[in-house]
This record gives sequence, C-alpha cells and structure tokens, in this order.
Amino acid sequence: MSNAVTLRLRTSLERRIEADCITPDRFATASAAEIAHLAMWDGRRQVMLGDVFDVDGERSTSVRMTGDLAHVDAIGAGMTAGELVIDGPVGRYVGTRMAGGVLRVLGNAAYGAGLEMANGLLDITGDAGDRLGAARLGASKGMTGGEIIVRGNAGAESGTGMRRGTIVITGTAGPRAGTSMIAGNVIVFGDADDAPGQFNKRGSIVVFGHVTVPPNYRYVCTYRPPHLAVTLVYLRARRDVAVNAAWNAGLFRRHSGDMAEVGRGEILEWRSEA
Amino acid sequence: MNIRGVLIEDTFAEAFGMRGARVIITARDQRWAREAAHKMTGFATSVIACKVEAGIERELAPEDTPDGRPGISVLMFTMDSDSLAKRLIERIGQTVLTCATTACYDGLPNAPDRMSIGKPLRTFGDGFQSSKVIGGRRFWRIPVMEGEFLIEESFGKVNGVGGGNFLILANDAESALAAAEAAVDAMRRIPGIVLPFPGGIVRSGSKIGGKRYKSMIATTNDAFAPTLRALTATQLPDGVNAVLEIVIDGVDADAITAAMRAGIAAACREGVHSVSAGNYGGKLGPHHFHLREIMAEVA
Repeated sequence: MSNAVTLRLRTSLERRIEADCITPDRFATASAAEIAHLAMWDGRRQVMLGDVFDVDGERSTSVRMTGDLAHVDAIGAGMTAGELVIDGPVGRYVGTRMAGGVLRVLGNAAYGAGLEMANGLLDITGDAGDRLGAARLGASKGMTGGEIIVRGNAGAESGTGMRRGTIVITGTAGPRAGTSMIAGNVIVFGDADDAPGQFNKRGSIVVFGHVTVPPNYRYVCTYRPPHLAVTLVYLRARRDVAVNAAWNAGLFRRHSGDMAEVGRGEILEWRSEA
Repeated sequence: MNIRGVLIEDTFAEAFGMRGARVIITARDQRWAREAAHKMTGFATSVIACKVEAGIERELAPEDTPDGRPGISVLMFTMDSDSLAKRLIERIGQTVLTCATTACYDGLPNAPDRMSIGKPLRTFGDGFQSSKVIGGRRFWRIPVMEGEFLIEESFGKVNGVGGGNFLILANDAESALAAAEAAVDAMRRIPGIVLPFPGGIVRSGSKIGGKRYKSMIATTNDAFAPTLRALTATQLPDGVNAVLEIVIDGVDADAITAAMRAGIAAACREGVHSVSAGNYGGKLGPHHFHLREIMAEVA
C-alpha cells in the first residue's frame, strides 16, 4: 500500500481515450500491475491503462494524474470515494455519475463535467465546458446531489435538469443555465444573461452579477434570503471560495418562475448593499 | 477543606440523566437573538412543572454561527427523548419562528442521535415551504410575512446531566445573594451548561414529596430553611441565616464538574459560612459530584 497512486501521461494524445476505469475506489485494493491492466477505450479499440500512463504506487484511494489530459474522457466516472486530483486540463465527462469522494481538476474541464452526478465534490479551478452537472442529452434528470464548484466560467446549459445538489460558478455562466431544473441550486458569482432558468420547476438560480430575467418569471419582492447567508458562509469556510462580504449585506430581487411550469422556482438577483 | 475561610462540606451533589439539545438562534443583531432566546427559555426552570429545563448557554459572535449573524446558544433538557422533540417543536414554533429576523440551527450537528424538528415545523408553510441542502445539512425555508424563516431539519440530542447543584450557606441574605451572583457570573463562562432558574439561582430548594401534603411531588427543603430551625431536623450550622442554591444542567458530567468548580470558587467570599450540596443518599441519580474532589485542585 502506498500513500497515493500517481498516473503520468507518457506522451500527448491525438485521439480521445475513454478512461472511466480511473476511480480512487477501484484503486483502493489494486496492485500497480492490476492498475496498469485496467481497460480503457480508444474508439472501438481497447488499450491498457499502462500503455498510456506510467503508474506509480498502489492500493490507495488517493490518486493524482499529471499531463495534458484534454483528450482523456470520463475520468472519475461513477467514483464513490477517495480523492482524485487532476493536475491540468481534462477531457469530457469528468466525474460523470460520481456518487462520492472528491475530484479536483487543477485546470479546465471540457463538456459534461459532473454529468448526472449524485454526490461528492467536483472542484474545477479553471473553466468548465457545456452541460456542467446536467442531464445526458435526452435524459430527464441531471445532477441529483453533491457539489460542483467551478472557479472560472462555465459553458452553456449548466445544471440542465438538475434534481438536487449545488453548482457554484465563480465566473460567468453561459447560455441557458438552469434549463428545466427540477430543484437544486445554481449560484453564479458573475453574469448569467442568456435565458437562464427556462422551464425551471423548483430550482434556485442565484446571480450576483448581471442577469437578464426571462419574461416568464414574475418579480415578487426584494428581501434577504436567509439560506443564502448559510450557503455563503459554508462556501467560504468549507470550500475556500472567495465571497464578497457585501453580498451578505445586500438585498435580492426574487423572481418566481418559470410561470409556464409550476412557478416554484426562483431567480435571486443580487441588487445592492443594504 | 477550606477555601478562603469557607468550609467545603464533605458531601456530594446527586444528579440524573437527561436528554439535551443545543439550539442556535441567529438574528439581525444580538437584540433580536436575545429576544427569541429569552422567550424560548422562559418558564423552563424545572421538569417538575415546566416539562423542560432550559437556559442560555452563551452569546455567539457572527463568525461562530452558520449564517454569519450574531447568535445565542440555548440548551434544553427533558427526561426523555420523545418529550425533548415535542418541547423543541412547541417552543421553536411559538418563540423563534414568530420572532423578527431570526433563524434556527442545530448546535449539535455531529451528534448521531437525531430529532426531526424543522420537518414538522415546515408545515406552517402550508405547502409553500421549500428545502435546501447546504453542506449535507437540510434546511427548511418557511415563507412568513417578513420574508422567510429558516430552520434546520434535524437536531442532535445527547445524554446530558441534570440537577447538578451546590448550596451556599451564608451569614445573611445579602451575603448569600452576592456569593451566588459571583458564582453565576463565573459559571456562565463555562461552555456546555445552563443554569435554568431565575438569574441562575434558586431560593426555594426542595425535597422529594411532602410530610403533610402527600400528593406533592416536591416541597420546601425544611432542613435548610432558617425560619424552621426550631421545628425540623435542621442542617444549618449556627450563624447561617440564608441559603441559596445553584442548579446546573449540562451536556455531560465534565461540563457540570467544571461549572461547579468555577462557581464554588467564586462563591467562597466574605459572609459565606460553608458550601454544601443536595443529594438523596445516592438513590436518585447515577451522577455524584463530590465537592471536595471537585475543589481539590482549587483548595
């Protein structure tokens, strides 16, 4: 048993590889040789993990990956425990369906990060691509739990169909954030201008920057939502997220919607200091 | 044993097990947190008639509360788990939910034994309520005329200790009160305990049952009542003309011990003859706090 398993990309990749075998819980009881023999997919061709990565360490739930992994997809898919740190950019579907543990991406993440995630923490220090924490195309439910923190900008359709859980985007959210939310939270520190919250049932979209509230939302009041204070304290204290002190003192315009749906969702628009 | 000329009697306080909860009340400012806490802990001196014993544990700075606002920590104790949940629901529902700007959180989030408190209270929202999970803890947003009341769904409970006590036997009532006040001031700095009686002090200590009125659960502690010295088997030494009692409930025996040590040390002052404690020969409760053991490191 070692303190951690380190996977180093041997050479830069030109073709995409699907690496859903890379999860800390799977490495917990595996020797270095067994880890090197885990199967990955290059299109229809199966490749061994050891063909692509140098493996250092064994039998640990702490995993670190280095190299430009922008062409490696589905890392941490379905992981249930442990810590996986990706030291650089990563490909599509990182942390998809993850149900526990901590997955840190020290760089950008491509399309579908945290897709249908059920629990755990996905922390991305760079930007995230489209459909962050969303449902698969055609599926009805996105994230059902856990937390996603993006310390940069996010692409289109973040949180589409999410049922529970929290997505925090410290930068700007792309078009159609929170589309078809069933519940849960999408918190955007920057702007969310392009049609957020369409078909939202009970979800909360919080925007501290500029937001263009769709016409199918109705302004209801300006107030201080108490749960947001708890959320901001939590993010600052437990997730090391930089929170503007003025946000706690400020007021929020509450817009209820989507009124074409059940109308129990909300867009909370931070307005000013009290 | 003597501390500054005050005799520490060779006796013990007898306490019993209770079920306890810690409630964190926050508000816009300390004034409104205190308003709610005072209402919530009102009429909660003894389980004999109040069904619950409660008190303010301490004030909380904004950095010590879940929402970054000023707060108050309240401890509540009952004799069993079921009644603890009932009393919490009643009291939070009537005194915290109703109080302007407040929110209400569990102060024992790591306690494995849980009670559903916010969940039944959510029905005040008449179906308009909603919930949020933040950091693995579920909170209910209950719409009210002011905006929203936020309450945590479940609260932890612990096996606490109730009825820790000591008696201050003084030359006169003024000296007894001054010593008791000093003790209360010292004990309120100890975390994990509350002093449920008015000002933390009891003037009407009781004995179990009654000699004349057999239906009474508790009657006056005639052995320590100075006006009855000639009529009863008094336990008052010569020169003692007033006795006050401090009753302590705590989240565990260590907290009670620490509070008794601080309180007795502060109470040993001019005009105090001795410090004693109430017990029932060891038959009532499993927790025995021996005064001389507690005060050994102070004396």
